[in-house]
Amino acid sequence: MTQLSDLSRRRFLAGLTGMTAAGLLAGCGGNGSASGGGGKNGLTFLNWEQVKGNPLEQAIQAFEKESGSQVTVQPAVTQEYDTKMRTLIAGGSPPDVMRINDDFVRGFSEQGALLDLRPYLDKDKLDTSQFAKETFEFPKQPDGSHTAWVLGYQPRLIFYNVDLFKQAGVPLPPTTWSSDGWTWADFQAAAKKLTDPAKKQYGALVYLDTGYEQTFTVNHGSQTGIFSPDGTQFTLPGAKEVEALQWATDLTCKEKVQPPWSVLQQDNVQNQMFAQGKIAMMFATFGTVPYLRSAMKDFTWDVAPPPGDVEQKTESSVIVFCVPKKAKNPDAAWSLLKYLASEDGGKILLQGGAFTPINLKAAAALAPDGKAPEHIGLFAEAAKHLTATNQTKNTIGARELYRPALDTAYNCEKPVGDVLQQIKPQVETALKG
Amino acid sequence: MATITMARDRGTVQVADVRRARRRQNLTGWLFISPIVIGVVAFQFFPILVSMVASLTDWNGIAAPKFVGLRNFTSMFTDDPLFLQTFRNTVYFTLASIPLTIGIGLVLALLCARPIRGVAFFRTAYFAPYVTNVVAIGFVWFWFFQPDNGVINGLLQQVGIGGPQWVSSSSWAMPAVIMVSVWQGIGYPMIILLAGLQGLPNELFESGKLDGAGAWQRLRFITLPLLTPHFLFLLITQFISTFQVFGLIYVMTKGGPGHATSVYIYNIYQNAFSYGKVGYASAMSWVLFVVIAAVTYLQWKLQKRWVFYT
Repeated sequence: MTQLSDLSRRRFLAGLTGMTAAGLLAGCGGNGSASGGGGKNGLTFLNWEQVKGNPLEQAIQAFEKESGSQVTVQPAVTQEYDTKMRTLIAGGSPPDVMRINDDFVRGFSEQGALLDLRPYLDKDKLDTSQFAKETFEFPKQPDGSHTAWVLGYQPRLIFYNVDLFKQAGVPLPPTTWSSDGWTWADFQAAAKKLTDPAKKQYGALVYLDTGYEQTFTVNHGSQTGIFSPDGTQFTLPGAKEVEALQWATDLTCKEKVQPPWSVLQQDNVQNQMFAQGKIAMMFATFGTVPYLRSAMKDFTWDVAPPPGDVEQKTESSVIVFCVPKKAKNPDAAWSLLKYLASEDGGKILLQGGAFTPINLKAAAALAPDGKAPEHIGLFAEAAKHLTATNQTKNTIGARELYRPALDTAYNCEKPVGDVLQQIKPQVETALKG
Repeated sequence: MATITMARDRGTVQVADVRRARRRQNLTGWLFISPIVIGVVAFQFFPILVSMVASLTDWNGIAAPKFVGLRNFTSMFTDDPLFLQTFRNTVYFTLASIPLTIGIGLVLALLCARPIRGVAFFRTAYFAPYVTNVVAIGFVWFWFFQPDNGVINGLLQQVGIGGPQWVSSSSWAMPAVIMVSVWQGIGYPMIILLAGLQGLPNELFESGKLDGAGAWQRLRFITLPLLTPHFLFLLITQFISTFQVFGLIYVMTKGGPGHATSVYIYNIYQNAFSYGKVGYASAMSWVLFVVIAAVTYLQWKLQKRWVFYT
């Protein structure tokens, strides 16, 4: 009896140990389908937004049909995407295609994490004149490599509430890329007339969208904007640049025509305020359009170019994807990216109404289709008026230093110049990577 | 002679059996705890070891790490002004929140120790925030502290006071976070001290009463000295947890405005996951470990001077 009991206990323990070991091995080892490749005839794809139900899903399905490849879309992660991306690359099992924050492209390229697509471009003799030039060249590195792939871009324009303009008797902004009657002075004058403190209604909102840093400084005559062309110097503390940022800050601190910084700290609050008629003009990206289309039913809204000063340019956010160097199916990944940037792929992506496809022929089809904004075509025309941000080895690191520091200027506690001069050495240390 | 030999042999056999049984027992024990041991080694000791090695490299999480010796440790003091600023912010947070949390916790414990009606409800109510998700708490209080349409400033306006900008002001953001932290944390010291109060010997209080000691004197000379072991425990645990504050900061202020609420752990997080400076972040973690270990050791050593054991 004792012997039987001992035997069963041994067997039990042996089984338990075996199961534990097997579990740990399975956990540590991973497997192909979960972590990396999508098999011989397929590839894996990771985006930080939900793909299902979006035009991107349709475009991927169209690619699958055309190529016979299978694309496995991995679950979307909106929070901590950058952390997941770094972990996947560091762990050596990244997806074949993944979205990448444009601020990371230079740094990741220098660290050798991204596959150079130049050999594929050359091999396929791809006609690059079909793409919007400034954004197509965004991922081009100093050594000539092309380490990421832009599918589209989201230019920034002024979104405005047509009804509020009409009620205040203010002339509407231009409907073309023109600064006639649409200079910084005109913009500020209009903002004053559109502000009504009793209703907590503000005429303008410029400084919340961080793309204003590059746009407004370049438009004020800055040669470089935020960083020097080689990405080694922080040029935002220059005289022209400080003047531009102080002008935008003074819309709150002096003119009182812009919401105070303190009320803008909640997520998406600016879009909600605009949709509630509490902001008359807002500097924002193309990506705002889908939200406003769904939220604004009661009044008319439209878009206009940014007001002109020395220049009249705007900055785009770019929709960038990459093929990690350790991707298991780089050829299939390239085929997918090539398709998504083609005229066919671009036309499908255009239906999302959130960004301009990089393919010029596809972008030309951008039209209101009976929906606001009436002058949506200005987003496509923005391709001719782009100011390109300079890539650096550590753009995120630099931004995490100077942007929080600027809070004290936006709070009207300190002048912009003082803040930027004080933070400059730290930012330039960060730019070294 | 033969009998003696047999007895010796039997004895040898018995000892060997006992040894075998002990070995089997030990093996059984080890096999039962092996899943936990493997887990601790794989997911705690191994990462600790890796972070120790990483702290001596320039590892960015992507490219191969390069050995840099103690450079990460020296550059904290020479190249990174945020290191000292976030350290100062953490000390400020700790020094402000610990006395408040333990002090208010003591008052609540004294009140909740009294045999009054509904005391169970109050004990639960005060303890509830402690077990509530920090993200939910952060979001709710972030709304309460809104300068223009927040509840706090709304209430202050009712009594004719113009409230500050709270989380949007570089001088008020940290006090706002401290207030929330204290509100969330008082349940823990309250429960610990309540348990301590209920275990105090009654005869001391009765003797005190007979000797003419009033309520304040009994609190001052009997209750508080007897609670000193609990205070020591709270000081040590609260110091360790407040020095590692992260969740509230991340949700309420993201370290702003202007790095006014950026604390040490938040700085580590940003270095590791925003800037990809894994080696540097590991070095910062080890500095934090040393600081916490040193202060805890000091607290333990100094207890002889003020902790009273019955």
